Amino acid sequence: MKASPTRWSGGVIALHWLSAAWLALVFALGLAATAADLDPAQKFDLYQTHKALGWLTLVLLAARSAARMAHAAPPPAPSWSRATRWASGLVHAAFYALLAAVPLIGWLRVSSAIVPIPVSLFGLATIPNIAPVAANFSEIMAFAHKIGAWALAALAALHVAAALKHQFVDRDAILSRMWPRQGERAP
Amino acid sequence: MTASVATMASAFLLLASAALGGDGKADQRAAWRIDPARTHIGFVVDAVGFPRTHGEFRVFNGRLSIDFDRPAASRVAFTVRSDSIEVGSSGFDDTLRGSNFLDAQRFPDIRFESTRVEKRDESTIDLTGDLTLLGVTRPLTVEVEVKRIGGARLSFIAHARIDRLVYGMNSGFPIISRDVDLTVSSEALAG
Repeated sequence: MKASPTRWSGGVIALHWLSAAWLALVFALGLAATAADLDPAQKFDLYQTHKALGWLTLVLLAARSAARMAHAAPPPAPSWSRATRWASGLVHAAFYALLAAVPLIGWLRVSSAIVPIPVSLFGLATIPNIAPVAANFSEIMAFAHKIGAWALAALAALHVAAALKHQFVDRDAILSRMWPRQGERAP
Repeated sequence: MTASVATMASAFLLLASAALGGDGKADQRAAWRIDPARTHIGFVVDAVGFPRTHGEFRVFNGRLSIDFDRPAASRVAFTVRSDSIEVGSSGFDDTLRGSNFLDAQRFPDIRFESTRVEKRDESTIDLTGDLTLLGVTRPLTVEVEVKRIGGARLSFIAHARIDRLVYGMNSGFPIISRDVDLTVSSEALAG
């Protein structure tokens, strides 16, 4: 029987950190675009960039899911209690659910908007709309998108706090399994 | 008397000309040409949840013939290229040129042609004409303030409020306002 790896695979690690940076950027663009007192042209451009990068998070998610399934996961740290494992599992499940739902809801919002401007991947490709124009539905999707995005941000904060706690309080070296190029330091 | 004058236009603008420069000669319509460097065709559209958008049209063309003694005999015609719209972002411009708004491929021009010129006071005229937008022609009245700068230069500012729904431009209503405020400021040169 194959021994369990002590670290996440290189692909999973690379995609994890790329996704983290990418999502932070998309979130910041979303906040900026919805800020008041912006020049209309600038606001328009921020929205379009947010839409393109946001849609691409679905591609990133698909790649991460594929990488995750292609390689065995390292086992939970031996020191972890049942409750810790359960909490970690719950947070990660919620992460994946929101990482899929938030961009999909954004895509629905864009598609059903009163002026549906399709997502354009920087002029290289245009992503088709996936819902008919429905102004009220679109506004509900916009609200859900916003709530989902903040929930994702809260989850990310929780995830980072937990990682720091495990690293510096519990000292269980769980972070090293996802840390780039830290090689063989895992316990 | 510096009198009155004429002119202007609506949706967007300029003029060209032909004819005489006889400044102030009685019973004579004179052609004036627009000075493109001093012409600006701007518009403002409001929306809910989006900042008020200011834009302009860069390419225009027109004819202006003015009879200072009989303002009612004056004529104005302007044509504006709908794809010359600019709001400061190429993506936004493309959206406005697209089928939701100006549909510039199908309707490359926006035209205004005067049908009636009425002097309101010494410096203001009401210019009534036909505006053709998205292939739909409807009457439009434009208020024009005119100022003569010497004998050979005329400055004017025209205001009009266009109800875009009348022309079938329904996209985004009511989030995006139905009224488009148009301001054309320009100078015309005699001859």
